[in-house]
Amino acid sequence: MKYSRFLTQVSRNRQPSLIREMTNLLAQASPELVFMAGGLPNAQMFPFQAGSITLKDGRALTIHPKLMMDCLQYGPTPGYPPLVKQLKDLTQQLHSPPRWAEMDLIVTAGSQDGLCKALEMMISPGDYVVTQEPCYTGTLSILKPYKPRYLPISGDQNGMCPEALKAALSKWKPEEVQDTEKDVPKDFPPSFLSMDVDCRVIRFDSFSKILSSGLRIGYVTGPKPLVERIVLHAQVSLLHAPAMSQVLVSELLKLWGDEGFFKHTDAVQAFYLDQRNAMLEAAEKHLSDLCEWAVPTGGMFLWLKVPKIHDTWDMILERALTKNVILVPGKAFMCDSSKPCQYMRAAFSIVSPENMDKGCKNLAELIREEMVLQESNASSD
Amino acid sequence: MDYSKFISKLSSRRKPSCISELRRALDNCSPSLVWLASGMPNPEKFPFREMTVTLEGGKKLTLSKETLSAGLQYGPSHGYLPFRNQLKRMVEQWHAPPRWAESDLIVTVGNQDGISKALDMLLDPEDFIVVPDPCYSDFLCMLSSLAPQIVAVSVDDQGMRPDILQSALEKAISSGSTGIPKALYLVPNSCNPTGTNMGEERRQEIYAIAQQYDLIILEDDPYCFLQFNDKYLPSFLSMDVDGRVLRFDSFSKVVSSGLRIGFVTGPPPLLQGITLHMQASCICPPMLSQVLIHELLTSWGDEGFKKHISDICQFYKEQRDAMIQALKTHLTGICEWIVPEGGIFVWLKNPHVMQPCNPWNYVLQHFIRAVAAS
Repeated sequence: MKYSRFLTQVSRNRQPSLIREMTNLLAQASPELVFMAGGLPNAQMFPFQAGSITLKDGRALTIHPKLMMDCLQYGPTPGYPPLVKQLKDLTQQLHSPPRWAEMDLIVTAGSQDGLCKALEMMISPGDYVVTQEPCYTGTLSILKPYKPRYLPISGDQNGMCPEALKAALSKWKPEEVQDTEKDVPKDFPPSFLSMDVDCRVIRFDSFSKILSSGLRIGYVTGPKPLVERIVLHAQVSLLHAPAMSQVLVSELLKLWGDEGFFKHTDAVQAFYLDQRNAMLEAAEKHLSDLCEWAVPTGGMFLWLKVPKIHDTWDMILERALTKNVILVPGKAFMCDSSKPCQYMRAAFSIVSPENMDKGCKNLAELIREEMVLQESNASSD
Repeated sequence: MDYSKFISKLSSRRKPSCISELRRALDNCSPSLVWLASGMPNPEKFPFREMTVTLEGGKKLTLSKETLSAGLQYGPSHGYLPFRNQLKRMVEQWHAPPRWAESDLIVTVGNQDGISKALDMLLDPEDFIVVPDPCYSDFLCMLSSLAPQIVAVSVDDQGMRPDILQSALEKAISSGSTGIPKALYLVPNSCNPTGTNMGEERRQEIYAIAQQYDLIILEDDPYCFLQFNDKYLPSFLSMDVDGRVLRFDSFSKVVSSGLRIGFVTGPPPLLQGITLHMQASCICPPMLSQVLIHELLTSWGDEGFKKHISDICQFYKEQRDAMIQALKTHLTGICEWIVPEGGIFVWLKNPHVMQPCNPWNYVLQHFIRAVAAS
């Protein structure tokens, strides 16, 4: 595939930072090499010498002095090499990307920073952007300054509808339509990466929901020419994802091995399943005559529709606080924020089952009062 | 000052996220508020329970449960609040900025990310930016992608020359471009790459010219603590009567480069542009890194911090002395240099070599050959 047509002029203009490239070469150099190129501060003068992290299962990760140096010193932009290797192995194991040899991976400061750099690599003001609707607000925040022409694709319980997608794209002529089927014996649906016969997928992974959001560690997998542009952007901005965070994640994955890692993700899954069930129970108890929703099969959000309310925006931003409940109005997730939206997003990740019950009860009161308000506004018009 | 003229078209279209607006509700809410808004993962499922770090000298710092919790969860885009407050106190103490009440401070993912986002905020392609010549190479890399109009100003042993700056700005203004000179970038202490320090009088001259042409000053100061003679020259922030300075500080040379923590001080309307971009990209600076540095600074107090800086300066002074000795032994008569009074660089001139082609390609090829042969 040719990638140059996807790049903005700014991205095409990017040149490697000479200092960073030289510092990367240091990793392969002989001990005889006298390196005076990079402005690396002397790690001897960093005040942290060693560390220890106790895990919830009682085991400890020891950060001995040499490892602490890795935590504290500048590192390579694509990522701490042991972690990059681990993540590449994991990606290959989970997705077996058909064109793995032509792909690369970079560790980013959270997956959203990878997403931001990928979009900034490709979007010029006024470009067309295809998104599912509703769309994650973080993505809309990244895109907003570029005033894109959105092609929002409606979806159902399975996400984006292919017919709607084809219809939206029908004003352009594709050279050919690719139909791929791949039999992937996995417990979860095959990723786009795993079916990427053309090398057109950039995949954004995150550790925020399973290990820690505050460490700011995510990773991007994609075609080498596109990952390279992201690396060049990172070289002159944050330089690399936080090193201590990368080392901690790497040491943890090493301690766990594959078995320990999947045991942990199973535990996370089970936890959020319980949270979801508690949320559904609360919603069914208080909201069944007021809201509609589909049962989420993963994640941490319940997407509620309020058919009798014209627009949830003011109801939430102006009146929800008085009812002691806050959730996100659906308009925040819409490409066209001038249109009314009947949806709301409730997160069930942190709230206790007791508070879910209270929250849904309060929400029901809020909606009923809003309906009355809507009624009286309509009759006074 | 009216800051709207400095904001690029792209940056002017950035808006705060709905969720951050909702978070304001948390400021004065009742304890019975049920928060179902942000997609925060449940920290019960984060596998880390306790963390202890050993400092130089053997002292141990154990993070409390709450502190470790803060270190592992999403935080505010402009920085972990206790850490920000700590840094504000330090900045006020060191610089006594004349407009402190109208200033603010944000934490960034390393000082360089702050600079990168400041450039994204300020520059449209037709705008002018003033840089010293020579200039920190990564800064030039940032500019090469944005491709603004560059006003390169030659330097002497104190940095940017005011007379050349003045004439270069006049030339830019009368060039007929639709853009305006927006910003001036410099590294006033132990400049990267030349190692020079800009004297107080020179700084005042540069500030006056920035006032005359209404420029934002980007004060990049990662080596401010690495000064060998205990002489601290007044920062541009400390003389900023107009509110036109964005100051970029770094912990990379004194605490850790890998933790990726820096901070920016300046007028809130300009910090806002950087913060909104951070909100959309990394969401917040790495929390564990912020927590660790906050705990370290708390444990040290002002005295401990001063002692650490003094130790660092002593160390790098010895490094400098050893370097100058080696240069004298092997390169006298071949190269020329000025002895740096701080920082980590010596800027060497070889008056005998004429530059063949692209000097970077030339150097890189030799370097790569040296690495490959080893």
